[in-house]
Amino acid sequence: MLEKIKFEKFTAFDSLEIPLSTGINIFIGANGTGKTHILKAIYAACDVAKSQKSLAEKTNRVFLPSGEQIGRLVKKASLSGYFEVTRRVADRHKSLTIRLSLTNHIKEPEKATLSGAYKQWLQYSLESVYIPVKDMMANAPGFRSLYNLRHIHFEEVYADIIDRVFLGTLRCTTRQKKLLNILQRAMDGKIISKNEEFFLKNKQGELEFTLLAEGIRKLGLLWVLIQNGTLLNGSILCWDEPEANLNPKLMRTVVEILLELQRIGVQILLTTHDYVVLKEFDLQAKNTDKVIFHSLYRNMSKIEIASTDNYLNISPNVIDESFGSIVDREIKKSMTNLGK
Amino acid sequence: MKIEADGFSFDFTDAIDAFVFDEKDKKKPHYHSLSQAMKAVDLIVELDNDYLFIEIKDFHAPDNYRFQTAVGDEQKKERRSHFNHLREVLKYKYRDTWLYRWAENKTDKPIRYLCLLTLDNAQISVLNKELRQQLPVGNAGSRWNREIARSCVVVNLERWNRNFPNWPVIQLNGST
Repeated sequence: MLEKIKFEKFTAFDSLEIPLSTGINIFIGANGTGKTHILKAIYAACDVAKSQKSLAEKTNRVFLPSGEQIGRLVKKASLSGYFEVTRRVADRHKSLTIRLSLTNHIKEPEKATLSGAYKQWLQYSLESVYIPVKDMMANAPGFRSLYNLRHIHFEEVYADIIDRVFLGTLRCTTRQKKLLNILQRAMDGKIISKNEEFFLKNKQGELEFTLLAEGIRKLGLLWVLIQNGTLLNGSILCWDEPEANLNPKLMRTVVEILLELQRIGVQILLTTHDYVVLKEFDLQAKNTDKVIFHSLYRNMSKIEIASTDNYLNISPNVIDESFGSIVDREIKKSMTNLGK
Repeated sequence: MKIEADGFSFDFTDAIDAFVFDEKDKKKPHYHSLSQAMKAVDLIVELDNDYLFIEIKDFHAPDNYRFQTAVGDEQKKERRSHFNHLREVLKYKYRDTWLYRWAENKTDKPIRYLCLLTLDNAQISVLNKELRQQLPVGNAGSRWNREIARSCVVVNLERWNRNFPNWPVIQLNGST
């Protein structure tokens, strides 16, 4: 389980430390406050524990700075920067911390510095998945081979998610079956794959993903990740804007699944701009669930964070404020200048 | 002009008059006397060119009205019915007050309806739309030559103070 992540002069951040919930972490904030960067850094650190790749290389491929010059990930106008991730593993008394340090002039990942308990970090495998904003399942056929053969300009999270969905299926536990059934009801079918192509299968027949609504594809992706054991006790799920292309009515099912995954031991980090996502967590979470809302905001141009486990105490709440701004404009239209 | 109602203290700095409309005290000049027959808004404020009808609701359980995010169809139905009930209460309070004021011969200026509720901004936005349609605001009927409400806005405490700096309001338990 991840305990915290810390940034110093890295991408958008000056100095930021985020203690993480072992359950669900929900990041909100205006565009440009670094929500996706947090998820990507965490994902890179988790992925290397399984893939045994170099953290510098993985970070570079996930963030994809211009010309793949890793030094560009140092915050602008700074000479050097780093991020570090701390994790607790079951049979160790002390937590493990790894750090990736960069200077702004280096180009190749090999020149970056890795420090901390990197060797031990790699000894303890960790299952992780990053769901990007754009659906990739419909684009899966041929994408992997193209990505591996040619140097195409795609953040690696897009190739990785396809790799995750093609993992072989596992025998499901009762709890997993329960989750799959919830998704099957919402999707009206189950997912099958043929020659790297995905289909939604139900009584009517098989419908290819390219013809399927994007929102249903998201539920399909969750279905596959649960079925093939990517989302198990001890896994890390990073999900960038789950609401993208999803009808708000389906969000109820998504949050129900996420809470249940957390209950079986999946640690979840997600970003959102959506009121319904926040409210669904607020309404569906039980007292025993571990949900933390992290609000990212700029203070004198520096990104800061305020975290709370109580929906009503989220402050600043950029999502509610955007509704407030709409209400203000409605009031102005209705009341002209009265009361001013 | 300062006035208190339902746990809030208002100061209408540019008002000609402001009074508790549903006044139960027989000795007061604005004694309502028809409470058993007609619903009533909490406050009426007279400005130079407008009247304000003001209704205040300080909920203890605002989640009861969040039908959009209810869990399960039963809860959604229940919450939607709470929400509809709230909208209906606000609607009939306005209409009965309007009738009462018409009978008083006090509908000589445009009337604006302000509902101060302890709901979040998203819920306020939904209620605003529904209440305007139901009241209804403006020359709504195809055969109407007059309006019964010039405008209607639903606000929470924060939005009130941000939009109406000349009419500051504080909650009497201490928060502003």
